Amino acid sequence: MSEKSDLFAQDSPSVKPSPVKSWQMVTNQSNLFYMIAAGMIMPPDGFGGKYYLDTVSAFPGYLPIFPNNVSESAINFSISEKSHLLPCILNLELSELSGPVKIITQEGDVKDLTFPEDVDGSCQLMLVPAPLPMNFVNSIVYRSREDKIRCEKDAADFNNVDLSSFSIKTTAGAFNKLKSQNWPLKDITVDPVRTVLDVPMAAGAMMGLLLNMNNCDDLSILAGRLAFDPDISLPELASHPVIAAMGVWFQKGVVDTGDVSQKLFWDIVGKVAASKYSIEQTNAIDVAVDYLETMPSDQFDDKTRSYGERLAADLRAILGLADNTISEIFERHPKPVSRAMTLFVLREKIEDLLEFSNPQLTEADYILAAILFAAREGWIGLSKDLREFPGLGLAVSHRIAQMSHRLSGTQIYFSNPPSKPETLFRLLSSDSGPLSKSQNDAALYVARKMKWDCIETRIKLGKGDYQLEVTSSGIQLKLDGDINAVVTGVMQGKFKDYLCNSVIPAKLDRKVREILKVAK
Amino acid sequence: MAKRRFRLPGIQDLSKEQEDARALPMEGQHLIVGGPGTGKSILALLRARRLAQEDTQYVFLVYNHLLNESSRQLLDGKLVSNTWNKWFMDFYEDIIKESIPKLPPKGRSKWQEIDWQTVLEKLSAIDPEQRKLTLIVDEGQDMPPEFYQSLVNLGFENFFVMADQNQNLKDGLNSTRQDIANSLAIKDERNDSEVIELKYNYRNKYSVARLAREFYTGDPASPPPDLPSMSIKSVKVPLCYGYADQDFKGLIRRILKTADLNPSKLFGILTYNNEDRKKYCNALIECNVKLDNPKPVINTFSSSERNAISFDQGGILVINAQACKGLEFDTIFIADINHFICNDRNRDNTKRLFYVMVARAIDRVILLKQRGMHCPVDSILPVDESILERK
Repeated sequence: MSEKSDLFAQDSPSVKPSPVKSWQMVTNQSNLFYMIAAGMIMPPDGFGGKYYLDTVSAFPGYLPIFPNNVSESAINFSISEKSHLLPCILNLELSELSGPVKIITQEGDVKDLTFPEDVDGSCQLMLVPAPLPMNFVNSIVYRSREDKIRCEKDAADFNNVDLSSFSIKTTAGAFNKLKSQNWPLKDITVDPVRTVLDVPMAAGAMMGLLLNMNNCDDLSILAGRLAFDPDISLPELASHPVIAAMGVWFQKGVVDTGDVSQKLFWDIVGKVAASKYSIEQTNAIDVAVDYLETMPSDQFDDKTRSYGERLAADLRAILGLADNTISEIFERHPKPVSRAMTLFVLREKIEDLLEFSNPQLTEADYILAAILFAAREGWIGLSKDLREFPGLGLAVSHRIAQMSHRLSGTQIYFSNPPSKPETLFRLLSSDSGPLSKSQNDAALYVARKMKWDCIETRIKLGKGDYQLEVTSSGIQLKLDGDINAVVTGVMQGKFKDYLCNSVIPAKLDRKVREILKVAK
Repeated sequence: MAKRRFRLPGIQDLSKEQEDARALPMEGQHLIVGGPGTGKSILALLRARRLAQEDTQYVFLVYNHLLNESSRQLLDGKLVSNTWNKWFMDFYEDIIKESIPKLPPKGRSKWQEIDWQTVLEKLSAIDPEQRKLTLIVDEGQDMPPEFYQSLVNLGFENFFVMADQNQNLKDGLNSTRQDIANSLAIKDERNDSEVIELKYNYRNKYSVARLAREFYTGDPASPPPDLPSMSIKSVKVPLCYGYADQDFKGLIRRILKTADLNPSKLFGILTYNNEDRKKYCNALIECNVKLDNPKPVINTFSSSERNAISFDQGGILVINAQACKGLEFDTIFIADINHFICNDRNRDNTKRLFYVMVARAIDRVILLKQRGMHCPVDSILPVDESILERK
């Protein structure tokens, strides 16, 4: 596995190691955009055929990370495939990373070490099993201001590439202090590692989608909690076993609980999620319907298989020349799985699902449909509108990268997972009694900005007489003595109704969170 | 009524070959060729959007009025667009100060083609000057070579042209790939070409693209989109649905119910002639059926009946086959295929027309056939039920 190389022949083997000031990766802007959209620094397998050669191609399953500065030839290699590629250096913050990595020594040997304790600046290159959360990128460095402007314009052509959360630099320094190593590396081989991406990608989309859906309804709030904390115990979900199985799927990538209804649904979810990464071009709907028609007889009883075949036949019929409306189809198919599958074949995009409503559709139907849509699109398929939920990108990126390592068995661990983002409904609710002062201030701010008719003012008066005087300039209330207090707040019931049934603009959402944070 | 609108693509939605086209410099002459569904129009719209953001003057030129409306509405009316001949005639009048010369009408038609020979002569008297306006041309094969020559002679320098030779519907009045490349001085030699070829089909679902390929007539200048093989049966195999005359009302009810399942989608009914167009349009308008959503908007359009069409909302549009070029529908019904002529002399033309009609569909294609009537196009329809299912 480990062979000596003449790769670093230009550097003296006796060079004294310098401490690592920063860990760096080099790529091109197109790969960078893809990784930002996917939420992870990934190997080529994750790019769905749109990977442009960069340093990551050298060691399948590993991310090559340079201590302190990258090499010029690595930069040139990363933009060699197309003339429109621009180089980018990523400065990484790895303080939350731990686990087994490989290093390539100055002599060109490959060694297995544990990060961070065994790794110092003496290595020429560190190979970390992929992926890493995108929020480990501390800053992005472009070669010039012109490159930065071009990248910003390019990113604006896509609905899921948001550069705003990254520190962007154009200091030429990183591009001037380059190593003289050759790239690609020759004569160094490392056994490839498998990177599981399909389940984490689908899971990330489920987190994002369920969070965007769960402003009010109890079941969707529970499903959202489970998506972000899959090992949590939620007895309240006992009456919804298929939704409850999400926790198992997130942890294992399969549902092996022995419950056929759970297995059927989550097998379909798994097939749909995997179809995005299949070498063969497959369509998610075809894959799902095909699975219903061909359920393995050793895993499903006759009754379940017969149900699958009937449902598949109905789904095929729906997609022909229709003879039924959706309401008529739902009447014939009361089961949540059937209804979710119906929506899955009739609607294509997540936005279409979010706009859909039908009086017969239950919250459970809708959640299962959302899970299927999320599996089809993956986290990368969520548009900026759905991602801009405060704290969502950070929380998802960390969780899906960790999930990938758990399912791949790399023993890489990321500490300090960001907490689950909270909806405004949760932030502005109180389980017991009145709202706190900061909650009340924030709620009032929302109500005023949204012009909701739910504000009330209480004036506490001392004992005594008061009289109403009507004058030409208006009405005056004349009081004896002093006012004890004037309290303005929201009528909680009415406020919650408004909050449940309104879309809060992102800017206002951010402001409310600011108010709550300041108040803390 | 549910809104349809242009959605920015995700980064994963554009392929490497599309990226090559998207990343082309904002200035200069560019030609992108590709079959239906290869993403030419989205690239053209992205280019227009970028030029607008950079305050660069541009005009988006299309083949006909319907395509102009459709493109403009998808960008919320913000697209600076025009039909190519209207724009060119206005431009000509502006600089020559007289109406554009036209040839006499042919046969019984009142339509007069532009007299390009005279146009070129008149324009040759004008000194070329550097013109900053960028011309984004969709369906660039539909403009005659003289259109490009005139513009280059006048000093236009910035072109972004999308073309597909296989979608020519009018012989003799179109440009070949080579015509456009020559006019714009774009190198297009074997193994050394600056023309970007889009090969993969993105718009049409696999089964639609598979059916369209059955009608490909084989012009190597615009190869058909690549189609990977599929190991499982597609749920959305195009359908050839036979109906008896007395069931026509039932068919219309089913079309309305199909549209009701997806009220934000646009359904196109393509007819052979005006008689069929009116028959379907009137039947859809008059039919009452219980639906979940308000009855879909039913629209029609012809050269003599220029209704305002809403492409930014779902509904049903009934138009003649010849008017469908460049448009995009979620589902296409090709009505009463029995009426289309197909014989030894026009077989390739009919195939080309079916190629264009089928390729208008993003998602589904349904051919409607009157049972018990002779159907000349049977001879060009695939027999394989995995490509075209019969019911």
